[in-house]
Amino acid sequence: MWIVGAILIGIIIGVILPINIPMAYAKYVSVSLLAGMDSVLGAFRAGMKHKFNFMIFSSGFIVNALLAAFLTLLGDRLGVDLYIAAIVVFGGRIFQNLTMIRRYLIIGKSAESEEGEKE
Amino acid sequence: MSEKLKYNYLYDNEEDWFEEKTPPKKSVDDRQPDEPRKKKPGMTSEELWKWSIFTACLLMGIMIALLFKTYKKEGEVATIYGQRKDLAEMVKYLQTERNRLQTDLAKARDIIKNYESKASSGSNQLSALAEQLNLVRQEAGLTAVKGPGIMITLDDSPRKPGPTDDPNFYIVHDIDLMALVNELWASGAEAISINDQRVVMNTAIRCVGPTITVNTVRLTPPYIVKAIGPSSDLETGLRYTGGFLDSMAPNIDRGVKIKIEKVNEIKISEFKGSLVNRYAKTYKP
Repeated sequence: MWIVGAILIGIIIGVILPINIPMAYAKYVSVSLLAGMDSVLGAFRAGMKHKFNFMIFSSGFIVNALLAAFLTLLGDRLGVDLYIAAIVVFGGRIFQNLTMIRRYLIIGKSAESEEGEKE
Repeated sequence: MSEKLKYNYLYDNEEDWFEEKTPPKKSVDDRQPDEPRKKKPGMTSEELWKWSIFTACLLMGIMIALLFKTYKKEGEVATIYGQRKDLAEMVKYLQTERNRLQTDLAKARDIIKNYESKASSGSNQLSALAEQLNLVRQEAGLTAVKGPGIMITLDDSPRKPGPTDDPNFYIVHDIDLMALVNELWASGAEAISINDQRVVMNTAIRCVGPTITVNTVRLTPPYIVKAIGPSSDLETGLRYTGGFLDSMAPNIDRGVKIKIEKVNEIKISEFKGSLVNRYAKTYKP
């Protein structure tokens, strides 16, 4: 719906924008993007259950993105692939949130329990 | 009875109605016809949710597009390797072209010499002029010359540099050849050639990867430098303390070969390139 529209508008703006991310920083932006995706999906799920809290979402979005980028940077400096932790955690949470959204859409308002069986 | 039905929607149960408690709160939609519609201050939670997700997705769309642009640029850089192949072929073509032009140039010079000798065979003045012209040609490096001098052979080290060594000490560089040529001129050389490429005033000695280019011709080691001049002076000029050989000492220690020998008669070929001046014009100061 409007989410797809938002992403498309964002892509168009990004293509037009003359800013370029230096190659060295592209990795950090990618990991922050992953954290952002998880935040958005979490917000979507919370909103469907009318439990959305703007402060939690916005602070989580920014903090998670920064932390993910910082973890990647630290891993680069230490020589250990610390970004894998961010990928595993945020990727896992993306799938969790997606599952809950899917269940909510299919079963409806009765699927309130977050600990319900995840398929 | 009818009154109960009329007000039933306002109260939860009958008891409240009987007790006539304070009336229940009006909802936003429940208003008098002439009351203006009041909007709650700020956004509803629903709207805020939608706008937050919208903005976040917008930001992420921008990031995705920027990342794609960055990675697309990286892909374009990779095609430089395809461009390099074209460049290598162009270099080969240009080299054959240059060789062909040099032979043409040699032929043209022969023709000119022919005309000169024919024109000057009768007259004294002309033959004197022709002699002078030939002398100038020789001094400029346009003729093959022979005479006593020395021959220096430089070769890369056969040893391989270790993990902590600087590989630059194991090979012969353009700067080494330049220093050698400089020293030879300073010691009185009259003609110098590197691997049969005559060194003239516009000769450039440059490093191109693992090879050295002299007069735009690529040379590979071993480099044979011939110099015509006073043999002993030339050799002393290279061997004195702090001179060329001393400066090459770290290279020699790592196996770079430098051999100097005096030769009674050295033959040095002529300069095959072009010395045409397009910008410099003679003037009398």
